[in-house]
Amino acid sequence: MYLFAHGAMLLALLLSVLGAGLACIEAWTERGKALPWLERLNMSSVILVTFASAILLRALVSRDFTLSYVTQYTDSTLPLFYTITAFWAGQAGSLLFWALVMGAASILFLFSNTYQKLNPKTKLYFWMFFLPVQAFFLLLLTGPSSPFVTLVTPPVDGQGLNPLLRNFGMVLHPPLLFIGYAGFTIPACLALASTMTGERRLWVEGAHNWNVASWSLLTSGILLGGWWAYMELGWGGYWAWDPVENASLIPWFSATAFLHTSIIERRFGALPRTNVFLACLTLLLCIFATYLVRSGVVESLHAFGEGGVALPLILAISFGMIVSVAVALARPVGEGSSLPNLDSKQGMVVLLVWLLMLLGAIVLMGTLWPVLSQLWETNPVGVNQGFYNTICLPLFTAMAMLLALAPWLGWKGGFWKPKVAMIPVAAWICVFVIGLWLGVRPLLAVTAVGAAVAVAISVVLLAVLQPKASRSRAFLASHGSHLLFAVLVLGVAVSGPFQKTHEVPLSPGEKFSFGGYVFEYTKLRTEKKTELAIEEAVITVSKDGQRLGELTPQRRLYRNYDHPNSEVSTLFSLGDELYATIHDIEGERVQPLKVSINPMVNWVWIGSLGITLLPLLAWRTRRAQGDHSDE
Amino acid sequence: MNNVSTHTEFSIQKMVVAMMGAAIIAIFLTAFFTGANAPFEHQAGQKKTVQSDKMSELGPLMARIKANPQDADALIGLAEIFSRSKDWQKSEHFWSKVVELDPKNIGAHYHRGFTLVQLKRYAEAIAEYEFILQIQPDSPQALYYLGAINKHGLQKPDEAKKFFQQALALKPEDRELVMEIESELAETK
Repeated sequence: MYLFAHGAMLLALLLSVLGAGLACIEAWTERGKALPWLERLNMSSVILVTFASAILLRALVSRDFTLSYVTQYTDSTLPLFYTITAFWAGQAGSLLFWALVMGAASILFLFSNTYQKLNPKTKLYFWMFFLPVQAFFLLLLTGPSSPFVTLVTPPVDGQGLNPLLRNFGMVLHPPLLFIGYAGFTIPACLALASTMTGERRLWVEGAHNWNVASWSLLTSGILLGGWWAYMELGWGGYWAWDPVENASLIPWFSATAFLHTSIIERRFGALPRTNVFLACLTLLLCIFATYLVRSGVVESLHAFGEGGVALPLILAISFGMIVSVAVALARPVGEGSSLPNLDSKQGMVVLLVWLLMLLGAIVLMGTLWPVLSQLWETNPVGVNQGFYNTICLPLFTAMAMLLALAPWLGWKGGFWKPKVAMIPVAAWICVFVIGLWLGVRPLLAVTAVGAAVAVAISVVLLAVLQPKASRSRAFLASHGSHLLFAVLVLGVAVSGPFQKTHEVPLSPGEKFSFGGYVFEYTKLRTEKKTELAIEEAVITVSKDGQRLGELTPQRRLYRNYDHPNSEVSTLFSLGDELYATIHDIEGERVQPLKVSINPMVNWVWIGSLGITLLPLLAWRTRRAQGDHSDE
Repeated sequence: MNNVSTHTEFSIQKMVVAMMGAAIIAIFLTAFFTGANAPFEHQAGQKKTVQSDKMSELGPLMARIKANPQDADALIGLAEIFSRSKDWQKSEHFWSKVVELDPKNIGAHYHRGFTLVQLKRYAEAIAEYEFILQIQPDSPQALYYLGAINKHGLQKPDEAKKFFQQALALKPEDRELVMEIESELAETK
């Protein structure tokens, strides 16, 4: 069976290579007769990848331990839900999932209105760029990272899924990221193809929905990763600037930049080269993210180590960068491409793009610092969270300030309501002065809260002054997202610096006061399941004599894993969220109980959910394409 | 082709097509030479391949040491290869050479200490980590290793606990290390 699966992927690779080769010959000879064949070859290749994926899924569900991949990530007691998600738990499976989604995206694009409207020559060039990307993934899957490696002497049971991955956040985090990554392949290949044939404007229009959907999925993947870290790792925070976290954030910066610059090209025909470059850069950075996670080049809490894919990935990224720059430079400069003034909405978008690029470069350099510093240091050193927080958080705050001001500028320049535009600025100054006067520190947090308040006021004023426009999907997608971004900034600005933590060993019946709350350890519950043993401390929480609820942090010992695993417990609140973990339990004594008071942390998740979902309202229907009046 | 401009005169177009063609040929040749037999090698076979690749680096490094016994990079390269292949005797020999050449190379002291632990030469390993602590008194890693030696090697859980607690008291920024120390502490009754 696995021979067939591997054979299917080899055949898919062969068909992709054949298709790409045919597309190159047709492009070189400037003919376009083979286009139907290219479409058929791609379709066949995708069907074969789907077949191989179905076989892997079947092997997982039936727990066939003759397959090495199944042995590594499942065992006989793993619940079915996690067994299915083990598909993307390892390197080979996640690459196969990426290839599958990329293939599905190509089929969707093939039947889309955008594709139908493309010139045959552009279609030909699209496949010339897309099929090699697909072939590259199939090369990895049939070579260094095959999910169909069989074991000569299969074990009786598998090793099981890492306990840290048995969490709802981690179930959805990787597929969302991979779907996002794969989705960016279409805009990048479309950008390259349209530029090569000189087919202007339409590509930005056609790429819009792909870009919006991929951006939303990538963003939701990143934010779910943060939520998983908060709920599973037990250190009380959600973002530690870990190399793997950074890996997915780097393409997010360029994708966000592209999301905004494409509006300018659609409206004014400006920034054509920038858009081609950003579309390609985003895809390449997605592949780079895989390189960071899979190559073992940097050490991380959840990096997956060397899997023989590092060299091919770095070669592919370098090659892609050369091709992208060459094609972007070949693009004739757009009609309205002179740099806009800063006192215009266009100027603000350009400023935003520079901020995003700067942030991307800083995070990239910081992540690669342990590697780069090897050039002059015997013992390479990494940068700590302080480095990122000191540099990146002020830049994020500056971005929020831009969002408060930009809507009041006209596309061509000047404030359209100068007096009203000053209200958000005044609000920001007020918050800052009050914070300063009350002695609130750090000042950066006060500045960020001020910026968030300014954006909120700005959006409300816009809605009041433009009642008709504020009911449109475009208004909600853009200004609504900006408002939710402000909510996210507010949550980060308050929950990080003002978090309070306390650790204390406790026996049943003992209690302590912390931050105005009383925590009483009432009892220890134990439970034994087939795959794990659970010890749960029941902590009753009260404030001012009123019972608020129970915290139930757990210590779990999974079968096949020697180390116990701590499970976090929280008491939800839009104000102070209470967060508890336990390190160890001796008899019935909790040794120690760690309690954190995380103010406004749930605003981070509310903002996250909003900025993930609201941009989808910018989805353009066939009728709306070509109409830019609502942007 | 009505909405296609006539900007196709740039020769860069042909160059890009040629580059894509070359990439496709490269993918095909790589697949042809490496892809066909991948799933039929069981894991042990794969490990052997990686290991033999590393071993192929031995010859040139040995030659460099012959030419210049003070070649620190080559010594480190050899020590790393033997560490990876778990040949602890040879690994310890080369880490010792590196330490002799550069006594302040903290990384080499860490590696030598780890290698000595593998060889169950605990007293010497402790001396290595104590030396590191003399230079870097705030090194949670060195304290962690001292704790691990006391716990697993010398069966002195109380001594181990002290080192783990000292390491945690330094509030290490490395979360992986913190988790490791906490789990060791949790197991140290």
